[in-house]
Amino acid sequence: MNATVRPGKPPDHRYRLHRHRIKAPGVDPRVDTLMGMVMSLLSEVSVLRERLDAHERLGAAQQPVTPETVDDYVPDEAVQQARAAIRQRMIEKVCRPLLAADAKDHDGQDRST
Amino acid sequence: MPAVRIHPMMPLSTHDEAAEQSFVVALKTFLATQFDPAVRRTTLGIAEQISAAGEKPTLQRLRKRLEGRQLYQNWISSLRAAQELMWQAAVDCVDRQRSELEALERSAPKLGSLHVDPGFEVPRYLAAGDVHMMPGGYYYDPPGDEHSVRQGAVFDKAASLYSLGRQGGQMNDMRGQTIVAHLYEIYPDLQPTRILEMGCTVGNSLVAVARNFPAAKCTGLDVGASLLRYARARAAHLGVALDFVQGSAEATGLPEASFDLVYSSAMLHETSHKALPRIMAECYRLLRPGGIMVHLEVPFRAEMADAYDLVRADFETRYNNEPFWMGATEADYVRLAREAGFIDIHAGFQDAALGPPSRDQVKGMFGQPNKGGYKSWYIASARKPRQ
Ligand SMILES: C[S@@+](CC[C@H](N)C(=O)[O-])C[C@H]1O[C@@H](n2cnc3c(N)ncnc32)[C@H](O)[C@@H]1O
Repeated sequence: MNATVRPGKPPDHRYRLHRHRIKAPGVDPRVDTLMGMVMSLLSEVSVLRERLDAHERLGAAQQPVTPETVDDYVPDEAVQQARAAIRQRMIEKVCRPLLAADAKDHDGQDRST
Repeated sequence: MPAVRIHPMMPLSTHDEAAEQSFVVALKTFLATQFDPAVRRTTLGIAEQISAAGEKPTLQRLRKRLEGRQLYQNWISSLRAAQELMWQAAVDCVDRQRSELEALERSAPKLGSLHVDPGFEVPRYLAAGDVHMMPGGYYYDPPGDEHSVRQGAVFDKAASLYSLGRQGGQMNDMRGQTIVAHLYEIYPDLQPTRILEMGCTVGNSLVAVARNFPAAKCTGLDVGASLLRYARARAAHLGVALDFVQGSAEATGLPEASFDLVYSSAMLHETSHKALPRIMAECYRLLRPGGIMVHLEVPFRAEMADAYDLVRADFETRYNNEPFWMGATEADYVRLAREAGFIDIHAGFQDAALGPPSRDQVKGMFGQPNKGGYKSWYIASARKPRQ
């Protein structure tokens, strides 16, 4: 992924959500809403973590750290790999409870229903 | 590191947008590699219980037992959330650079053409819900903006992210190359000079086909003006002259007997039971005698589905707005082609071509066992009788 441009003004016409989103039987709509919120929040944390990473690396290289230099920072292959590892750890941590929902847990209790 | 721009029309990402997009890709990869297998195990277990009770594990019975399970509920919810995040990331990135992209369209080489039809009515199966949750679907044209390239840009950006390199890299041209490999093997005599792709989206497959048949005049047909405006500029920036027409594959309005090759790639599963015979008849009408029709589809057939495949297909149908996903994989393309008047009919799995195929290396690529997603495609092809 290559970053080459700075953020500009926000979009002026929006059609961000798809048409025809049906309710899933069995899925509590409140949980569904929260799922969307948690995933979006995690995405924001991931972005923040990468901005912080750019910050640290610019600092370590004794480069000026401003909003513009962070926007212009382009991670090389090694940095991208380091970021991917952090991202992966974060996703696994946050999503683990989703997968555990059906397992007989270490205490032997069946949480499948 | 220098910026790599796959082709000039591909929307660029800021530092933060790139971070967001990488996150979405990682999340979707996590769900596909960790969550899907867990749901598969659970589903196959339930199917065994149903069979042990002497019943057939139909989709209805599977769903009845799955819907009460938290694992299944979480799966639906998180898959949908990830898909929505992906589109929102693409939409935000594209909308931010809307004017730059429109300027790039205007400055694209004057190659190829675009014919839009302001009175065009989008088929119901595409307008009823936004297919695979893409906001605005294929048909949306931002109001009051006759220079819009938005839907094309959103599609291309998201496809380049989501493919993770599997669809033929960020050019997304694996399906086009695969169709060419099929033609080289099964219809080696074909030297097309007039080619039509129905359902061409951003022309990603058509660019590949056009490059393999440089003497041919190539036309792409799809339903959205914004989509096709982007497609024309994308191809022109790549140095390929393609003509784009807004219309429906069911009734294109193009002159009869005007093509040597008419094909579609991953289009039929987005249509309907009613549309299939109409599309076959339209292919027949458009082809000159002896001309070839090819339809490439997802590598999946309903008759080969296990219990998990059914549940997965059900997700696509109901939640990912692919209402004809199952229908298309059940359809009998040999019968449909025969009833439309075609001869020399072939249907089966075709090994994917990873790059431009050469004529002496395509032998045996068609008629293979299904090797699964991105390794195989399902193809149905036929010839219009010579007289
Ligand atoms: C999944 S995309 C396929 C993209 C491209 N052909 C490829 O191989 O990557 C399906 C396309 O088929 C188009 N489509 C579906 N039904 C159609 C119809 N009746 N007429 C024209 N285009 C149609 C959709 O608008 C969409 O752009």
